[in-house]
Amino acid sequence: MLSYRIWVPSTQSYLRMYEINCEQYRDILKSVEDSDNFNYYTNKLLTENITDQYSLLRDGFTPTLIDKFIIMLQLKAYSCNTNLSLTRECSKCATKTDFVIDLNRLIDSLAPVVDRSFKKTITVGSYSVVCDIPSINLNPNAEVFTDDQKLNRYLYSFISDISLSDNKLLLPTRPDDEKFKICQSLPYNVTYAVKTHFVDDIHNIFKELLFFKTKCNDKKCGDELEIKFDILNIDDIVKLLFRDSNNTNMLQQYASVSNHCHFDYSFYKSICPAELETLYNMITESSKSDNAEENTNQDIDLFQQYRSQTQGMVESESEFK
Amino acid sequence: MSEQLSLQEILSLVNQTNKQFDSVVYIPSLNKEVYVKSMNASHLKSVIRTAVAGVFANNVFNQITYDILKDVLDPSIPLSNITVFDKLVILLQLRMINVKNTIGVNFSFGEKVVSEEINIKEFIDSLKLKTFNFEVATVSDGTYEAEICFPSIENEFQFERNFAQTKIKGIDQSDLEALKNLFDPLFIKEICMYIRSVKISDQYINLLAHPVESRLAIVEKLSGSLITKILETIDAKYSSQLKELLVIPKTIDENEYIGNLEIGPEIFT
Repeated sequence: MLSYRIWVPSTQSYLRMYEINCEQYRDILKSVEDSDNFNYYTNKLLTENITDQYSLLRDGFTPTLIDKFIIMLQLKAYSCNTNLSLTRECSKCATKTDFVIDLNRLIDSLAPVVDRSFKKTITVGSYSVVCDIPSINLNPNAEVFTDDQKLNRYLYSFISDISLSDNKLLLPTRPDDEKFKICQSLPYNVTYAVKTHFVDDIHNIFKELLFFKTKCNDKKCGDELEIKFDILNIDDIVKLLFRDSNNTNMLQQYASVSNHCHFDYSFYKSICPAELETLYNMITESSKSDNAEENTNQDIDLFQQYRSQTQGMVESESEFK
Repeated sequence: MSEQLSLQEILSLVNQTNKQFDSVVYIPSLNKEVYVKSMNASHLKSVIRTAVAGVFANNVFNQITYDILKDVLDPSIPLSNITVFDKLVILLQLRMINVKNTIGVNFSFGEKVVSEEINIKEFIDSLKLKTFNFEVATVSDGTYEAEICFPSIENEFQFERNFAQTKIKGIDQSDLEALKNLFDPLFIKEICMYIRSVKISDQYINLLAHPVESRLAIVEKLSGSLITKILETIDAKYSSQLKELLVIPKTIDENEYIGNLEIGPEIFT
């Protein structure tokens, strides 16, 4: 499998990762309507596709929500296609508008805002709180969160570590339930300072960050259609990257290719979706040419055409009629 | 740098450290200041739950503030000794200690509305100079006699919890008919909280010693004339004091604006 250098904003460095293969792509497409499963398969991909040689997981690297989006965007562009075709329904006139996003240009437009570290330390009394964009939970077997746990993540996920006088509480090394118990015991004014001096700032930075903007197809309406970047619903933004295809498309391509080519199933699993689509397009083109040939073909009488060479020969009944 | 501390060691360390944020709050009915611990992040989590309570936010907020006050107030002072009037003053001061020293108020004059921040410490200091009436009032219609007073925080909590469990639970907030059907039980609840005892002939019934369901049942049977007198007294003696607390006059550009201090879930954000 081919691997690529993938830029990671939080570490401001490259990570080498394998392209998305058809099996992984299919799992993602099938789970795109189910948030928990989508989370599971995309996070699984992030761990599985880091090549051993450049693995940062051993050094304790955990991608942030922004890293996840930027990594998935790059992998999608490399493994599937660089153009994302979407449809939006206008809220004013209900007209559907199709548009295409160039993922490379999208990266360029988002980079000035997202391509940096957001880490910040806030000090209140004896507390020093290190705040950062929340990390994703890389454990693919992590439990589905209850409402209470979801509330914990919403409130405390921006806190990455805490120092209390000379004691480092080492939150990143602790399991989630311990982290939340510690965060819950923090004094209100510390949590309030984190909210007003970090979380609110993050929301203000991102709330006006446009993912894409276009106008309604209906010229009389002309309403602006926008897709905005929502930092706490990163998975919804990641899902957008995969909404231009669905499992049925993939199955159709696979059925067509496997009908014409005798590859082992493991071959299909290991190639990337762009390669599957290329094979599918080649077969479709080839089928069109074959059909065109059949329609213009006439029976050729070789005995008439090569009369001089077939003199004396007896024409027998054709075995092919 | 210390070695990795256990969870218990950390929680103990945090609890010790949090004492630096402890403070005092003034309680009008006791006319004194009492010790209060700092609120913590789990209290913030509770407050956020009211954001999803919809039309029942007030009920949820009252239950949550009971839990918070039970957690932070000096345990030597039971919540059955502190009134709902005191609660509003305490909540303002908790905002001053844990969030910030100001609160936004909308002042209106006719159709004009002006938003301004008021200084909570100055506001509390001005309250300390006022005299409020927390005495029990007696109301009679010749047949029944009732003693009424400001409900205690404990009392309010019992009624709000009962209301949530028996009336609100399972109601679809978009069902207007179901919401309209809550009006009567809500009305009885609000009156019942103020009534601490009822005397029928020579029979004295201390309602505070009875569970909420029994108190509601008794009050529902009281005469209409007594209920009317109770309402008038509540309005004259107690609601008027709440108004004095929450309604703030202010002169802006030579016009008398009126501001309404809203003490709800937003007080902690």
